[in-house]
Amino acid sequence: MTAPDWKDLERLWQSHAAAAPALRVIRKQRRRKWLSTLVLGSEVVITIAGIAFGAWFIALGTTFGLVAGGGLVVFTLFAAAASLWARRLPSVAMEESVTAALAAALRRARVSVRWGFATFWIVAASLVFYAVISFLWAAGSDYPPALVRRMLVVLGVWMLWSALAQGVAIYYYLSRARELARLEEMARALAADG
Amino acid sequence: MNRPEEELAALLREHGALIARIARSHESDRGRAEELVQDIHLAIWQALPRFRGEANLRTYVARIAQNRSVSHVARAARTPPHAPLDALGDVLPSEDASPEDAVAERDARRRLERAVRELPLALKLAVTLALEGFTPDEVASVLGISTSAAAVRLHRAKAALQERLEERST
Repeated sequence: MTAPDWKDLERLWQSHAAAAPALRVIRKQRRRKWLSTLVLGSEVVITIAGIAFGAWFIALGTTFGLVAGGGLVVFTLFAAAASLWARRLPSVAMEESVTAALAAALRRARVSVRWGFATFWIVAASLVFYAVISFLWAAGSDYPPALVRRMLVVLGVWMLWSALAQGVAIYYYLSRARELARLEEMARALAADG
Repeated sequence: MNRPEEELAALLREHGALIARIARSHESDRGRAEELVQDIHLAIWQALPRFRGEANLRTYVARIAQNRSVSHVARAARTPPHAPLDALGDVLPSEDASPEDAVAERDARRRLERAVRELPLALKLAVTLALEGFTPDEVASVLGISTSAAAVRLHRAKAALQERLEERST
């Protein structure tokens, strides 16, 4: 093939025909909506549970209860606010021009990377905070052993959940950082090629 | 089917091939290309209620397809490729083509698709639209650049594609 005519290339290119499985798209969209509702529902349940546990700790009326419960309530509210903030990020309108959509995607990816980074350190700090509190409680508490055991179980469950959340935060941060790097590379390529 | 589903089905009947070709220009892996096509369909379904007729519907569809493809490339999964696109046999041969001609045409089309995929992103976006028969004005609208910049980019993209095809034929 030497210097083919452009019209021939157009015809050759357009000789590909594809099926249009519209119903699969709609099923996928419904599945996504369902998953999104499930995630939102679990966030609401976790927020309510976190505040309830925190209130329970505070209601014990001890210094430890105030510190642990207060910390739990503050952390839970912070996580809920961060989630709300992340959901309010402007989405990229796919019908915008490629340049505008890429710029919006870049802004969004940068915010996401920062959000992932901040989440990692917040969860890490909370894990250390609750580990220290658990240790102090187990080592030198004047409370009845049965109550201490119950408290430690609650803290243990909370820390396990936090560790799981940390795993998700790390995965999220790394994947968004990779995506941001690719988007930046594409923006540079678009700018370089005029 | 309700009305939005009917609208989408009609739109995909008319522009499904355009969407598939744009997806194939960005993704060489068969499984991922199919996923990308589905993602584009989904994005169109979501964007369709916002279409006010201010642009040509074909341009609107191409813009969504290119945007979704760019996002897809940025998000490219780390999973290994499943099967190369060359395994696909969805080619429309010319009506009066002999079996030999049909094979030759399929090979030529594969070479063309590969050459398009190998182009730098900016040129690839432009050349795909040019191959679809979009005018420089429409290309400018899809890419979000001025008409003169689109004309320059189209010229460079076409030259780069021709060069690659010539390299492949030697």
